[in-house]
Amino acid sequence: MNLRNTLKTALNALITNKLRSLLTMLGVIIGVASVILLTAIGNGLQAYITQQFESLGANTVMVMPGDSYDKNETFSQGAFAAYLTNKLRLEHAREIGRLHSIVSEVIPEYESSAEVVYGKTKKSVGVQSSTPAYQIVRDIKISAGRFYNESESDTGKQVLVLGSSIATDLFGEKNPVGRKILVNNQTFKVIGVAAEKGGGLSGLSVDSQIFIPIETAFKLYNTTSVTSITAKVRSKDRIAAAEVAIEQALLRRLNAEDFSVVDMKQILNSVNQILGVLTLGLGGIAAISLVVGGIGIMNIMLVSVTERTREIGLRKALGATPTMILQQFLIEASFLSVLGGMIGVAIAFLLTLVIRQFFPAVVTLEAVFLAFGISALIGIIFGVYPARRASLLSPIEALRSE
Amino acid sequence: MLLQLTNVRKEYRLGDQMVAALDGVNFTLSSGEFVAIMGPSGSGKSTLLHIMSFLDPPSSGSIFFEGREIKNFSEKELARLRNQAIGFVFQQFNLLPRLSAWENVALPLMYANVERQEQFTRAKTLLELVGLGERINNTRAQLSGGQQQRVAIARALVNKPRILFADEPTGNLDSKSGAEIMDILTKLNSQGNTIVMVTHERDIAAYSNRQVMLRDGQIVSDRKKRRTKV
Repeated sequence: MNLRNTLKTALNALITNKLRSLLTMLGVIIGVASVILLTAIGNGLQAYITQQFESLGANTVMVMPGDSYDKNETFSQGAFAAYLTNKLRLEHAREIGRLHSIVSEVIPEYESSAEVVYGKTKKSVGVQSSTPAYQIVRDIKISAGRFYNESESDTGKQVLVLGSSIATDLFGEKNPVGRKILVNNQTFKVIGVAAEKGGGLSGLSVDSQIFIPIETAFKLYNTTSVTSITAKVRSKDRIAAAEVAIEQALLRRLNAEDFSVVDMKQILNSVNQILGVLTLGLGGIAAISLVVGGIGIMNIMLVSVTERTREIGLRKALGATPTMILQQFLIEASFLSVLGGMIGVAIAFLLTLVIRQFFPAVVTLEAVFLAFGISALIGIIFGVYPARRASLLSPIEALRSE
Repeated sequence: MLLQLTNVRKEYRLGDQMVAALDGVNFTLSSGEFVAIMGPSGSGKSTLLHIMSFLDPPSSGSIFFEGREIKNFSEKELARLRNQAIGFVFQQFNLLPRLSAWENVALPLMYANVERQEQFTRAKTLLELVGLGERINNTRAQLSGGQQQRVAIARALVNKPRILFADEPTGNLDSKSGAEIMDILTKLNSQGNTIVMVTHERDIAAYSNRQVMLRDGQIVSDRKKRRTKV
């Protein structure tokens, strides 16, 4: 029998038994699509975390209160206690600011939370307070109004900038700039709205925070300590030098155990550790989904081909050689695997588009090739193997099988 | 001599015991004969038919087809014999369910590398011969048992085989359809076709001109007879 005849026989077998072909293909489709989707979600998670940490700025040095950050590059258990005996003050930030040959911006930060009220709407929000340089260091874009200025910051004016989502929550379509709202029962004037930073997993987003001057926050919370001081170093290769300079400057006013200097490299190391574990976990997820998908494909192929042992016996009785049988089933299995694989890839792409509406999933080429390749391979092997076995039986043995 | 079996044995494993389905069978077949193999169930008559038609290998003994021993034939040569030298009619008809009548008849032609147009012409001619010229496009579900068996006979004949084998060809049919099938076989034999058939019914065996009795895997009688039914 020539190849054209075999091809016709195989395609004819697929077309005349549409249900069986469809079910077999479904195994491949689900296998391929689930592997691609799971890895897309995993990769999206990884990309999101990396991006978030990179946006914090790699060339910054942070000063934290207490000995909270030990040199083993992990947060020690005393971190919380350190905040209670916080000796970091605004003046320390000014001290660091004098190192302007090496440091370009310095921002003291005080973080807390508050209840904001506008009309009948009440919201709990995160409060970020600092100096105007905060806008540059944290890369805050303004979509309406302006950020607070030096004089407002120094005098502790009750003005605030709203995060984009809290602005929508409180004011809807109205322009909030110039309106008054209550923050912990104090009247504040809205002077600006921050542009959406986006990409945030809900709840953690900077878009649901408010920004106020640090002196204002001191009055509001009746405190003088700052939660951290962040210094932007003029160039990346001077980070180590900046750390030493900052440490020496602060040691003139504070004891060594009252503060710790941390660069983002140390934090990034911890982050990279987390990412490493995450990557390993994602690899595990991909492997498991490949195995699960593969077993699904294997089962349906084994069943649908084993079911046809009688057909193989009959074809042999009518003069088919084992090679002809093998060719027919190879063509059938390849066709189903490849077509099923392509449909699976297409479905995975469509679903990813849907998922991207609320989660930053990323389809990688490797995942597509891996899923497609392995699934097609398994489909072909287990579509051909039982046919091969049946084709080596005598026609009568094959015809007798149930 | 068309076909010769010498001391053929066929054993099956049953649990941990070996059971002999055929226990030293000697048999020769000449061109133009119409043989009925008879015997009670379990006597090994179907096994004998399968071994004679190269569908199942013997455990020991020799089979000669047109003087050549087939023991040393490769799978490919055996497939060629099944395709070209013999035609087999099964008790259960064994049509492929989703193919039309003519496509079923054409299956052996496909494995013989015959062009599709030629396949159709030859399949149609044979279906007309068995009286199904009007039903060449029907699938199995659209054919009665008797009609299915006639398609199966057409399929067995399509490569002009030297021997036509039939395993209880009327076993799954009512007596009227059975008689029609036997009429076709008788006509084929009178046109010079060699036929070997297994049956346990005397009525059906009566169409043959040689009756072989099997018991416990051995031939107990082998008589040439005049056909008593036409």
